[in-house]
Amino acid sequence: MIAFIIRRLLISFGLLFVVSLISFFIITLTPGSPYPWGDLNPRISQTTKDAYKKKFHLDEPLHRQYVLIMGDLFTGKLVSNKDERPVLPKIAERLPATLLLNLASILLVYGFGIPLGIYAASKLGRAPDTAITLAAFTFIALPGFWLAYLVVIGLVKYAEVPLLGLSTFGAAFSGPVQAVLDRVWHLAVPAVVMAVGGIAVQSRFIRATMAESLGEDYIRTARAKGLPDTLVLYKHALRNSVRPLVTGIGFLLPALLGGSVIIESIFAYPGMGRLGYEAVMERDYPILVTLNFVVAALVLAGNLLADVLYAAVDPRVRLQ
Amino acid sequence: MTAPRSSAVRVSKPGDRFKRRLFSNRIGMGAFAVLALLGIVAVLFYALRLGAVSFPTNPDATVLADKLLAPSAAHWLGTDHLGRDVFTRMLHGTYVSLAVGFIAVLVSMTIGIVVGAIAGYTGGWADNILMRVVDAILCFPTFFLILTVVAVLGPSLINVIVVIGLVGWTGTARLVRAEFLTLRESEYVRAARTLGQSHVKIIFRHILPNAMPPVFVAAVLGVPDAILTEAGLSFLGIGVQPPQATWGNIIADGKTYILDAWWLILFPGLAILVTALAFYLAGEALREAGQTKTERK
Repeated sequence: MIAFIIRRLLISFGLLFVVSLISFFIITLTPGSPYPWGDLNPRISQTTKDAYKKKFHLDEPLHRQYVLIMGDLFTGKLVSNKDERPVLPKIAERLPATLLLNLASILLVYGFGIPLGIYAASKLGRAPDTAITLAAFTFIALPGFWLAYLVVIGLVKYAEVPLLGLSTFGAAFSGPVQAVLDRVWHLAVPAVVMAVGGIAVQSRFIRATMAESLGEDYIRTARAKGLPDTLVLYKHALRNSVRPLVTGIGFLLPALLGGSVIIESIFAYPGMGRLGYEAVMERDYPILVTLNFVVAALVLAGNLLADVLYAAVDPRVRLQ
Repeated sequence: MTAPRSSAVRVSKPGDRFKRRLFSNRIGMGAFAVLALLGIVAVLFYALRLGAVSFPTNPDATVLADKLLAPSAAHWLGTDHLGRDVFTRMLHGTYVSLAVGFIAVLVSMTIGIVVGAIAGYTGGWADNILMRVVDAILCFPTFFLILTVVAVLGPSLINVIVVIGLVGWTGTARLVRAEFLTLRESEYVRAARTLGQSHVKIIFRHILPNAMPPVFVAAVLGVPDAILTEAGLSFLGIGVQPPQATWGNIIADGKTYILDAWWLILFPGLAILVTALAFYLAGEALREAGQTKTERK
């Protein structure tokens, strides 16, 4: 077990190195420049350009740039190309909003997806199963941005309620209760829109593994000896269907911190997704390299966590 | 005893059961019908575009006097902010969505099959390296990676297709590798090897055909993913560029008028939804029809 974890950690560090290389070169080797002004702007003198390049090491050869940027990243000295603020605080200030939104949406995904999947599997091949299956595929096929707009049209036009950002301007003056409710409202709408597809996917996963478990001999035995249906379903079958849940926990780490570009854009939600989108558009290399690095580290940590958890929940799994 | 051809007793071929199950799946058949219709529309309007025929109306023709008209008899699904007919634009956008879906999947399947076959068949260090590459790619947030690359390469139809394809092959590679790992140890592959057949022939003639069914299902399910990704990119303004009509573009153009012209959002989105749903249900029908008895429980 320990040997397994150490070996996986070593591989993960190697992968992180490769990922940082790829992300650095994808970002820097492509056309476009990070200058805060137009490339051909005649009012910017060559000296200003050179000074800017020197400040952000853009005059160095690429491999030196890579070493410098990674060095700065690990010593926390990396600053944004745009406003020269350190990268880590810039990311940290966007983090809580995204964390809250993703947490709300993940709770919805598990809270609705798992029961729906179990219910569908218990009615396998019959009308409720077909209905849930059709509904699930419909929600998976829904373009997220389209659903978001329909919700915006519906709520703003017919209910006349504000939706954008983290809170309504001035809501705090109406008292603490109203302020909290306002925050919850601004969180709930994007969270629901984000969760819809996830609920559908989760219910499909649970349905598939539950259907498999329910076909096993021990289920027939349990039924044959007269155990009540709910006990068979929730105790015998569900316990043997935890694998996709554990896989889900592996995805949880990156899913909690990675923002959704589209949903955050539509609801003007100041999170990680918007930060990344803005950084791509502005060629803010330090922000992009850091974001990719952090997300990759979280994915790898999540995978490792899931593998260790497999062994913990299923004695048949041996790590080697 | 040889039974006459018309007799009810007939040796069933392996594909018979698959076809019978597929044809008796009403939801699946409905999905295939929708896809056939979309395919006809796509081919027809692509041909029209190639022939530069402006029938029934030019999708890019602007009539500013008719801007933002609600759906009516003259404009079934209304007009956009430049007075272009939304229904015509949606018809012309059909082939873009389908082309993105199919070609991107073709690209990703090709890479995935080749990588998976090499990794699974050879094993050892080649397998190790290829799978670590897959792991590295999986570390990137997919949509964000596509967004970054398309944004820097410059948005265009061909770039969108290629990038979606280049990012999406990892799942196929893992699938093909797993199939190859089991199949290469099977009796008939050993027999072929003993007979001295070349590796290329064993891979392509003997193993690959048997590894294809799950890959084919994954391909059908991959098409709507690519279509939804393209729609998302176009919506952000870094997908297929105007004036080319695509379903995502119409929504992107319409978002400014969201409270005045709901038809610019509703109808193209419905088209995306119906298309993606038809692909998912068709893929699911294929998967169910191909399942063996034990897999069905």
